[in-house]
Amino acid sequence: MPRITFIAADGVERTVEAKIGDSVMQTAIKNAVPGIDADCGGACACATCHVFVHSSWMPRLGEMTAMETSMLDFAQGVQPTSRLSCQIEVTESLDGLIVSTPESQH
Amino acid sequence: MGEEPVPPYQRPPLSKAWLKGEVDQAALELRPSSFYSQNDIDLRVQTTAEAIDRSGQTVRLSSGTALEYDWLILATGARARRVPFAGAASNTVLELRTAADAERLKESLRAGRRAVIVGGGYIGLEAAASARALGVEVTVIERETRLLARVACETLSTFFERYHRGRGVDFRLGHFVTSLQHDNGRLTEVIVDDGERLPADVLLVGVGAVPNEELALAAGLPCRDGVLVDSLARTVDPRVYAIGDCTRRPLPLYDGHFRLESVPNAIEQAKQAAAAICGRTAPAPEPPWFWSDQFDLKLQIAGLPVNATQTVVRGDPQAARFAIFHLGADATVRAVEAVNSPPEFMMGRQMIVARTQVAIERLRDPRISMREVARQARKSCPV
Repeated sequence: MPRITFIAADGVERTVEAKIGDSVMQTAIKNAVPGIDADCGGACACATCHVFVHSSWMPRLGEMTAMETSMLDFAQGVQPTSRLSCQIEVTESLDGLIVSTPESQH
Repeated sequence: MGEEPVPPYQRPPLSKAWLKGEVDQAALELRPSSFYSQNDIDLRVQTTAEAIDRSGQTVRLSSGTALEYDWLILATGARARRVPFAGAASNTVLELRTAADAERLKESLRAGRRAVIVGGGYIGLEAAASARALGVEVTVIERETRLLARVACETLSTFFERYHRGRGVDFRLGHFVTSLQHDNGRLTEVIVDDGERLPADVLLVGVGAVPNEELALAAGLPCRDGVLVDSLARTVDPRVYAIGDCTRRPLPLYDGHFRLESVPNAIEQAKQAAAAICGRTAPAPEPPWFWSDQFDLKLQIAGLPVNATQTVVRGDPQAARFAIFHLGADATVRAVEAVNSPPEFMMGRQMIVARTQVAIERLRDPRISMREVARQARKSCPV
C-alpha cells in the first residue's frame, strides 16, 4: 500500500497507508488526519482540502482539471505547489508522497 | 446518537455521484468506523431520543435508559415534506433523504423505465439528471411556473429548464399531481391536475424539507420552522445547542433569521457549538453557500439575495458558463449564482464578506478577470 505523509501547520508529521483509487483527501479523512476539512466531500466545490505538495512530487501528480485550477486560483494562501487533495487519486507510484496542510484548515 | 442504522455519512452524493453508481457506499462514510472509538466518541446508531428533561439535564432514549449531559447538541436534521396523493400506496411513493431512501430509488431506476419526479427543486433536478444518465425516461412536475422557484432567480430557472429539456427531461410546470393509478400494487400512472395521465414506473417526491424540531418543542425550546439559535448555535437554554438543517439562525451579513439546508451550514454551526462549549474563539462568520451537480454542470451559490435590488449576468448562459450577481442598492455583492464558473463563485464569496462595492459595467464584462474586477472595486471603494 502506498504511504502518504501529511505535515500539519504546527510541523507534526503523520504517515498513513492509502488505498489505491481513493483520493488523497479521502486518505486523510479515513485516517483522521487534521487539517483537511473537505466540506463538500470531494465534489471540487469548496477548496477546503487544499494541500501544498512537496515540490519533487509536483510533476508526478498529473495535470489539474480546469475546475481545480480555477478553484485554486481564488483559494487563500495559494502557492505554486498548491493542489486540492480531493482531486489527487492515489496510485502505486504515489508511495512516499508528502503534502503539507495550510494553517487556515487547522 | 442517531436513529438510522448506520454511522454518519455524506448525503449530497445520494442524488448525484452515488445514484449514478460513480462512487460506492464506503466512499460515503463521513469518518471510518474506527474513528469514533479512537476519539472516545460513543456512537449509538438506531437510537432515538424520546424526550429532553432540561431541569434534570437528561435525555430519555428509545431503549428506556436516560443519558445525563452537561451540554446537549440537537442535530436532528430535517425530513422530506410529504404530500398526500389519492390512491397512493405507501411503497410506491419514494423520497430521497436517507441512504435507505437512496437505495430504494437506485434499485428502481433501471434503463427504459419511466420516472415521474414531483418537485423541481435541487433534489428533483439532481435526481432527474442522474436518472437520465442511467437511461431512465423522466418527467418533472412542478407546482410553480418555474424551476428552483424557492432558491434561485428566474434567469437560472430558465437556464436549467432549457438544459434539462435538451437532455431529455420533460417538464409539467404550473401543475400538480392529483392521484396515482396502480395495478396489482404496482404504480402504472400519475394523474396530473389537468387530467393528463403520465405512464410511470417510479415516483419520486422532492418538495422540500421539514425541520425535525419536535424534540426541542416538547422541551419548551422556542422554534419557528426550525429551532431558534443565536450566532453561536445556542438555544435559549445555555446547556442546549442546535446545529444544521433543524435550526433557524441569524446570519451576520444579512438581516433576519434563516433556515439553511446545506452541508456548509451544518459544518459552520458545528464549529460554533464546539468552540462555545470548549471556550474557544468562535470561527469567523462565512456567507452561506451551496452547490449542485447536474449533468456536466457545476452550480455554486454564495450568499443570499436578501435586499438585492439589481442583478448582473456575467458570461453566456448559452455556453453554460456564466454567473449571476445579486447586488444591493449600494452595488455591494449580496449573492452570486455561478454555473461552471469557479472564479466568479470564489471571488464573489470573498466580495460578499468584504461588502465590496463593484463597478457594474466591469463586472458585466467577462474579458475583465474577476481578480481585476475585485482589485478595481477595492481601489475605488475601500472597505
